[in-house]
Amino acid sequence: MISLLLVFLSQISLILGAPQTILCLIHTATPSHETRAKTILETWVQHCDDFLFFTDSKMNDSIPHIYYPLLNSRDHSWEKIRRVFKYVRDKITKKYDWYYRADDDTYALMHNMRTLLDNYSPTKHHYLGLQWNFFTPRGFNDGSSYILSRPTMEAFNEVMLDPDRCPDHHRAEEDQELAKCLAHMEIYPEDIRDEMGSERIQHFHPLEQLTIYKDTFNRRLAYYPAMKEDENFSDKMISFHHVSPYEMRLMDYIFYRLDKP
Amino acid sequence: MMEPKSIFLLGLLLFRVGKLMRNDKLAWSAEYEAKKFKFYHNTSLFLTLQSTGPEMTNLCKKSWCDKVDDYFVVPHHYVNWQKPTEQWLIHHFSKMILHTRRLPQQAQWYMFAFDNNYFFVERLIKELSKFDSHLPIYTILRDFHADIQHKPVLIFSRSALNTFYDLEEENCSENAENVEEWLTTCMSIPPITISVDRSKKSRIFAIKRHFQVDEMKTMPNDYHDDKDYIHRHSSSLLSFTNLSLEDLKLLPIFVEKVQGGYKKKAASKILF
Repeated sequence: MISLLLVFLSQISLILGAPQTILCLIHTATPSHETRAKTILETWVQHCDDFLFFTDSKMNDSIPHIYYPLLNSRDHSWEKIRRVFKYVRDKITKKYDWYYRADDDTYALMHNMRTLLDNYSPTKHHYLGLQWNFFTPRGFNDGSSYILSRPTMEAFNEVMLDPDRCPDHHRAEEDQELAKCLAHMEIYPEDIRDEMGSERIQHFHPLEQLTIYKDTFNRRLAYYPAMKEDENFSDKMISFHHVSPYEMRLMDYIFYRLDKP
Repeated sequence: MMEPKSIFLLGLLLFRVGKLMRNDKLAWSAEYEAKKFKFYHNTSLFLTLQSTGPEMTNLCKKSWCDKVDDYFVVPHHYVNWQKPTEQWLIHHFSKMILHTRRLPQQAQWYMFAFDNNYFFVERLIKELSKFDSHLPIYTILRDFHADIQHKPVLIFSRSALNTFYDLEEENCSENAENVEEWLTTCMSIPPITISVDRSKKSRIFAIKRHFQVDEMKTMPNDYHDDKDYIHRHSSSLLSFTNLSLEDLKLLPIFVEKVQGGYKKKAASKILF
């Protein structure tokens, strides 16, 4: 009896202690295959458990990717992301705890993402990112970088089947449409700022983020007020946006190669 | 016997003269920064920082400069705003070094740098502590992997500084081709090398391309991410150099604030 209990407890501890798995989905396009996608492939995406580029033309066979030749403009983004998440659910056998969607001008710090996700259960509905305060009553997460738990990904696939609640139309702002569809399933963005009130995900270039608290657009439409200057950067940053491949390389050197005394 | 009024006026005159003599304008033949120098003992590193502008200097002060034992800032209006030649650097470094004679301090090491640097001061001090500052030791820090012109940083032991003072008039002609040749001739001994690691990777990282919005537009044709150049630099870096204002705004955040990670095993391919 005691031995059975011990075996049961050890199995539970294994399940509870198991690291959470993340599938990274990176949006790119043909002009960026040899620049942005290549740099991402050699840097931060290696810290995901698995990854998949989604684009508009064929990439090298060694790179996990899917492509939609007819959905080749920014205005096709909403149609593309619907198909990507459908593909992820239907065609990929492995089940991940989390699905991270990123632009190809995003640099992500996956170790900080994992630290954040340790505070959330992957078996519940979660929709995490940088929150904007418009388009839907409870806002939406910025499309440059957001994270869905598996149940949320499933819920998105479910609501997609309903054209009234989640229509498939031509639109660039896939992040807004996603939030609208998820809201029908009562899934809303959550506050992932750190204990100091700093955002972990950024939309603007790091240099612009230093003074974004003064920006009229941001003051009006950000869900939470931006902090000033370096306070706008969490010490547990998850992603930077609008960075070039060179800047990604340099940041990768600083964050992963440089020994900081 | 002097009248009280005369004594008072004399005292006031002496006070004003004394104040004038302490005035920074007389000391460096120009202006000092308004900073009082304290006597200190057993101080490791004293920095003479050449300002190229108040914004850059303030960013240095807020970040790495705060970690040296003490520093003095040479005002920016002494900098040649055109791209400095090696001859200009030799002349200006000579003035910076000789100026330290006027400063009341007893550091073990003296560093001479422009404010376009970001130093890992703890690592630098740890490196210098391997050497005996009572010996005439000096080093010239430059990124020898970089194919761009950039300003070096000089570090002298206390003893080397005294040697420079003694030999400066006889040996230190400013007609040398570069700072390395000038100092080697001047000091009559070669510098030590701490700017490369055991793998011959540079511990000084000269930034050739800078952080900026729309950085890709700076290279409209044949864009590349400079992977090879970046990977030629050591993980035990002593400094970034040749920094722009934008670099100095972001580097302290990336280096000191945001938590970096460690290499993870490569992500596997998705099995369809």
